[in-house]
Amino acid sequence: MRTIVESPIFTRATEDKPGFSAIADDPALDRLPLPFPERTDGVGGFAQTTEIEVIRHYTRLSTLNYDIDRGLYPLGSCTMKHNPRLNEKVAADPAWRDAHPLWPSRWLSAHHRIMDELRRDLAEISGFDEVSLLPAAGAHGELTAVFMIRAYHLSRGRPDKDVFLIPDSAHGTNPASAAMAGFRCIQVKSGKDGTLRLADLEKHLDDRVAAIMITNPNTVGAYEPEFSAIADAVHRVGGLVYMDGANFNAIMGIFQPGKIGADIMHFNLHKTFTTPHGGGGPGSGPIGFNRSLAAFAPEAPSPEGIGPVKAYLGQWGMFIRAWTYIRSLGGVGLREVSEEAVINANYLRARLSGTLNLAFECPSLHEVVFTDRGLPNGVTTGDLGKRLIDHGFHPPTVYFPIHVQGALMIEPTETETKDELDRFIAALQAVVAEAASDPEKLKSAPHTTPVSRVDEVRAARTLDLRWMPVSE
Amino acid sequence: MRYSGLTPTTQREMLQAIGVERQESLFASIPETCRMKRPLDVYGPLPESALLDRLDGMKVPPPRVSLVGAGLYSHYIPSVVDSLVNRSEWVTSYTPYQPEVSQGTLVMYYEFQTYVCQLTGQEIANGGLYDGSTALAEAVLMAKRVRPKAKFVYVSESVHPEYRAVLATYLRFQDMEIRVLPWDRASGRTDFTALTNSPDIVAVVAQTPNFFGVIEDFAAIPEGVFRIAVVNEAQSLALLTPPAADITVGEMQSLGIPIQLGGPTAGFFATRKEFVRQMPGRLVGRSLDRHGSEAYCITLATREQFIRREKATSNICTASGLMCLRSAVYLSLMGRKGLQDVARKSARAALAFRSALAELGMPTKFGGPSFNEFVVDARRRPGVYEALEKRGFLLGLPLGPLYPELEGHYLVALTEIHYPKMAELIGEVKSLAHHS
Amino acid sequence: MTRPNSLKYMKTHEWARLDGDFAWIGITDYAVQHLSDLVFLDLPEVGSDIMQNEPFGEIESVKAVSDLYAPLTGEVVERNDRLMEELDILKRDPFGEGWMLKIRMEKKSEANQLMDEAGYKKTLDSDNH
Repeated sequence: MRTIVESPIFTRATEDKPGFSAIADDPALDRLPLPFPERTDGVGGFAQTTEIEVIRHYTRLSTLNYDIDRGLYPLGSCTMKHNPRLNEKVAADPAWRDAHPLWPSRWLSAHHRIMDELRRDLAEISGFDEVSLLPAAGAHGELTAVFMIRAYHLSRGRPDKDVFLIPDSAHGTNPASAAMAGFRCIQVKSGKDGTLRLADLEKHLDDRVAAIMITNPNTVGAYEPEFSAIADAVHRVGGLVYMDGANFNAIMGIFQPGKIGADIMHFNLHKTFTTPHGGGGPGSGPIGFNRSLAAFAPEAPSPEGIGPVKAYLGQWGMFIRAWTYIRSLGGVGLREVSEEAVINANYLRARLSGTLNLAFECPSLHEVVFTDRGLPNGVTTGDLGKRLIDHGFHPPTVYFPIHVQGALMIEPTETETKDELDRFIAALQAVVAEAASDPEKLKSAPHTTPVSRVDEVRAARTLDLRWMPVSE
Repeated sequence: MRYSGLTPTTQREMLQAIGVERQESLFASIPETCRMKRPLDVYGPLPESALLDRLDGMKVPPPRVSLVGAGLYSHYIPSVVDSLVNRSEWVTSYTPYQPEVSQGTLVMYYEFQTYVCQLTGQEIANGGLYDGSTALAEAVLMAKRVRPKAKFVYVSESVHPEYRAVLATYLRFQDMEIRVLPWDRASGRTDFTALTNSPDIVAVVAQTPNFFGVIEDFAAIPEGVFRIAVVNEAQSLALLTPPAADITVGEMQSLGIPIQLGGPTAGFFATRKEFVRQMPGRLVGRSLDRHGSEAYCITLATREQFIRREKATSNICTASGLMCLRSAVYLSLMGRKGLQDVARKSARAALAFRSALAELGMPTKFGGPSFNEFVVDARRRPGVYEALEKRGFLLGLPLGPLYPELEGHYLVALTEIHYPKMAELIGEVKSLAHHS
Repeated sequence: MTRPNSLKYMKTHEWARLDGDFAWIGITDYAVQHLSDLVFLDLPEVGSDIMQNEPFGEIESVKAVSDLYAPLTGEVVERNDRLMEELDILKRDPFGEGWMLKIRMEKKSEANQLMDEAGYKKTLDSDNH
């Protein structure tokens, strides 16, 4: 059966359908005159449908998505692993889900207990003294940390400390977050092996440096071998070390960032701690930090505290999932997660290094980066990714990190079996072979999806961002 | 419980293929001095059933009745919403950067953008932000991009206090200064009279219905001032004329999203088309594929952090996809008629309850028109709130801690879920009020 | 495409055509080719000032955005609004119809810091190695 593309629901809306009736009418109450005039535009162009139309529409739409329940998501730097169903069940329990954050605290004591335990667990896993759960996603955690770093330097009378050092391998969110607190970003070049060298950094290390942002393991999947030495050097000029925790899945129980030189870090509960990605959120981005920064935390009662970065208490729905996940595994289990994530990545690396060229020779932890070097007939890594779709896989991350020419990045995660990895390896090898024999097949891929490559130029030029009735 | 895919056998085979004997060798790049020498001290492992028992044992019974709103509202969520949203193709999919395998999510975002435009009366909307409070902060940052030389942000004191606190955090390290606009003590509406149009003003921020539940009059803001409207109770947009604003932001929670202790929810952000390149967040556009079929993709990504880095319009990446889906499904199912029906029921439940309270010596504080939330003055009935709370009935949010001059006042919200139970609710309050 | 040798060039791929007190400004065929799939051009308004070596605008493709650097200092007296609507002109005729701004130069001597066609070609050749 061919899957057909499903147009927005508005195309099937007709006015004479009744709309969903949620609550029975009460004629006595309905006699009360409303104290305001009702809007006269009738909420222009709204859908008006039947229940089965809505069910079919969103069911059909859903079938146009790839998802982790269907197969491997080999995305680098965005840990996409199995989302345990137990977590979903727990989060959907009305006893947990329907609580209001502004109820008097005695009604929320169980919720607070879970948040306290999660804070304690995250502190233990990361080696930091304290944790704030408030930030809503990884980038939001970064932003919170950047604000705290600014507040820290200001409290010491140093408004002039305004430089952030950011490696060329960093996620785009790093410089974007730093800029939101008015910091200037200086890009630091990675060494030839893909990791940072203190010697390369030294020319930037002066009194103006407020902080360095380091992803460790970095975005090419390697442990930064000079991390502690770099941290010491940054500390010597009065700067702080921010660690981007996007790749935390590689290091649970292996090392604690808070004990080896990092001052502050964010977690992605939607990467490492199995809360689902949901097609682009919601996430949750708690931060861990050392005692010296505690006075500047969002919750800190002192006037030096930066203040809240989000209303209410944070992403509760993600907290209870992460709490459940951590207890499902225990300390030993969490370490095994990281060990097996690293085995899987190295297995892929070993099996694929005859097929594609590695970007760097440095040892890999949880992910591995290849380049487009040596691909024949002008085939790009983007084309490889698109053709993998025809083999039933989501494309790997391509063109990131940006300092690698034509990067192709794979993070298999620990929840994949060897069988699934072997299938993926075979698919990727077949696609690379095809690059030599039938390059056009790749350049026009995918061929099996309901829509083929989308004209992104047209989208950006015409900017059709909302449905409009034809008559308007 | 473990979720990993490896067995001892496959692990051995894989290590062999890698060319190492022990998995420890794969961590050789991490200096010995940095390694953890002990197991992590966290509770577990527990199997499913034991974990569920443990959680059950921790639960505290919830209040029987809650009339606490203050930015998050208990509305009825039809069964269809959970049933559709829990499909794994929505829950476990990634951000739709690969349009060929993400058309479902992309069409959903396009619908979400459309619904936000229809509700707010704006021309364009993005694919959602974390929540209403951060959407407000992003709106002010965008206003500053539109008016880079201006400095002052006028914020009504009747904007949700937590939203104002978040805004203050975001602006702390910006070249902007917040000035507070007071509210009129009789009507509960913002007093805009002190405001004149000036090039120094980045924006004026007001909420409608405001934190006290009173509907604001945006026409009272002087012509030419950049207006940011905040909407906490999105259900109100089903009936109220949308605020005349340059940016309308707010919280989608009321439309199909459970309260969840305040997160996750979804923020919305809508504005005029001329500002599209200044907008934060993800945008989905309609286009065509190679064969000329209708197809959707993320567009104007050049505003976003992964391309523009430190010059991006925001640092936001992962936002609120699944919560946006909840709203899209909810609105599609309710339709205009269904949505307006529940909105009228919310408003009428509030009307009935406020007049009952007034008869019991607890008058409504402010004269301005309201939708489904209002401030009640309970100073002549001390102890009623506490007595109700003991019985598991939360009359509202005590306002004294937030606004000292409103000690003894409560913010009370009703919705369509209270509408069928008005007689019981009023009866219960009556039985206690007569005793105090 | 042949590159006019009457023009002055910058390393960042902008060109200037001097004309008395005025100069026309645009970007080279090489830049257009490398940006590919152009979707948006942001140029300053008539009456504003631009400064040599400072960004005066931005050009966007689907997946990249680049600053445009001013080859010369001066006041914008004309802007090619048609180009902003029809970016494909750049592909066809970057050195003619694809001009972006006409400015009144403040310091003609600044032109001495720009490259001639041969110098520009040399930088391109070294970039490609």
